[in-house]
Amino acid sequence: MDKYQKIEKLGEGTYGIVYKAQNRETNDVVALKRIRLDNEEEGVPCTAIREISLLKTLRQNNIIKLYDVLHTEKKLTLVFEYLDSDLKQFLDTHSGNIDVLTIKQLMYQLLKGIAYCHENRVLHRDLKPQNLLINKKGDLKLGDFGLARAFGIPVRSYSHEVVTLWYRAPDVLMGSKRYSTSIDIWSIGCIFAEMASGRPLFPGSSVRDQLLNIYKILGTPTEETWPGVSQLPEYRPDFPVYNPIPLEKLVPKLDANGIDLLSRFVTFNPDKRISAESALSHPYFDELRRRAAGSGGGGGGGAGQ
Amino acid sequence: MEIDPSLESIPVIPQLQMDLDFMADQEYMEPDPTLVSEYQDAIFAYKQEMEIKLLPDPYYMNRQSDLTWHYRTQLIEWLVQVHDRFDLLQETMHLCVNYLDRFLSKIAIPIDQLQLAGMVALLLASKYEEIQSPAIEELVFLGGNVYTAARVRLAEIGMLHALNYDMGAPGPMSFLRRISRVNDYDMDIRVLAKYFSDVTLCDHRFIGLPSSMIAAVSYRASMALLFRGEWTAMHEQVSGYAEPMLKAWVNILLVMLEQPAQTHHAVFLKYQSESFMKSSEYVQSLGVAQLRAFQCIFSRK
Repeated sequence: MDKYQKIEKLGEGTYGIVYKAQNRETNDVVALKRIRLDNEEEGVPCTAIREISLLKTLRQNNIIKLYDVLHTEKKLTLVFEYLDSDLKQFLDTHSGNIDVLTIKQLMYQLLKGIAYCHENRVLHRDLKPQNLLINKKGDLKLGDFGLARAFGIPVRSYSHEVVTLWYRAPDVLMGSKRYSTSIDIWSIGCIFAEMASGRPLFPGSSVRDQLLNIYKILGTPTEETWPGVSQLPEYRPDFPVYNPIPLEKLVPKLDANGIDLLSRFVTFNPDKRISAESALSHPYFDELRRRAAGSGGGGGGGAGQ
Repeated sequence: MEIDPSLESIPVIPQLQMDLDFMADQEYMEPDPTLVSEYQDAIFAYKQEMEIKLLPDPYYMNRQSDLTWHYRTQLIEWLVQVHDRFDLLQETMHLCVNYLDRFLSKIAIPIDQLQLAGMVALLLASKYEEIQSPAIEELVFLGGNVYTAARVRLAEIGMLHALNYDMGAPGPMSFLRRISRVNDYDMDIRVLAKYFSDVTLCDHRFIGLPSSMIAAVSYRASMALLFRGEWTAMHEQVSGYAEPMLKAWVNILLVMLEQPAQTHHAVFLKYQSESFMKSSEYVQSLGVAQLRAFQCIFSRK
């Protein structure tokens, strides 16, 4: 009776269980996200409402496609396109050793997807390797919009309980609720470094430890390096003072352009953090543009130079 | 009909654990970097597309055998009070009315389900827009325990489905802020315009208007009543509306303002408060003669 035949359980999202399944009529493989409603005192979770509503309007190659929504009294099922893997698994299977061109291609797609979200007034708010889906062709798509939300202009204050700790921006860690598109950019910086080094950039264990992790690498921020930092709700003046370490040392795989771009992502002051749109035209990606121009599409050969 | 529009009908809930999403101060802090200037044009283009796509059918009452526009106004008066009691954002109220009207554009319901539809619209709007939404039990309580929580949950799924899960209808607030740039973010004009945009929720004639137009109408009326000069080429450009397109609507609004108790009682009371700069009292202080004089100015020859 079900239109979809479950194949296996893939995991659990911010809400609901995700299965790999097959459409019995077309044989297409899809991912199903099941949300049980019979134990939900508060009805349909707001995460599901936002995810469905936002994904219905976001149609772009680097964003996961929502095909359908099925509902009964007892459960809600979201039908997504299926991708074999995610960036976390991809890093694990390559033991954290991805070649520089692949990193560049993945980063470009990630930025394309998030620039599209931001243009369409959506903040993802949970970017991390597990939520970046990848298929065998090397396509990258943003997934899990459970924490995403639409923003108005100007951006109001929103919940600060967003983004997995390791990828959370320092302004949000210090209690700022008036964040904007820059919240996603910080996460992208962390992901960039993780792709290049094979290790998480800031693997903190608590909010305080997370900030310490960041300060040990980027230096402890001051009013000079980040005007307004001392005004943040949970700013503490008693942090040890660290000097910044050159990023080249941490991610030797990146060239000078890569390091420059990384430093623009992980900029303390959220107003100074680069936007996804500008990042796409950063010289770091010139190589991809040369290749595209030289080979007329596809990745064949050493196009360009 | 269970809807009682009197304020007294709403009991005080002592233990609302809401994340009070500020409002007053933050709303007026402008301009600031969170205006995301780089994406502004793209975002507004997108909002203009969405506001048209997610417009209700202004003639839906023709297909509702059990309802009348009067019942709708009563329901909205009640929702304004519940919304106020939970201290929700203005965006949420406009979303709620959009959901309600779109739902009623698609589904004919008996009168004894109208309040349920209103409650569910408010619940969904809160879930979409707020950091924390009211608990279903609290809504049930404010609704006089007419519907059970289980009934509300069931109706919620039904409404989501009827709305095709398209929950991102843009409200007039972003458009208001945008126009307000022309007057250097004049706070008086904007607060009064907010009052007017809420007033438009109470009259069915405004149902077919896109949010950007509701914003322009409210803003135009506000400028007039505050004696803040003419609708300039700049206003026209930023809002997207020339004055002749707004006049008739400004007039409908001005007529409503003459009789707050009959046309928008709950909104009137809400905007009497200090946090809304006593906007509604200001309008009353102008007097009926003054409102009529404005009507002459805005009436089409």
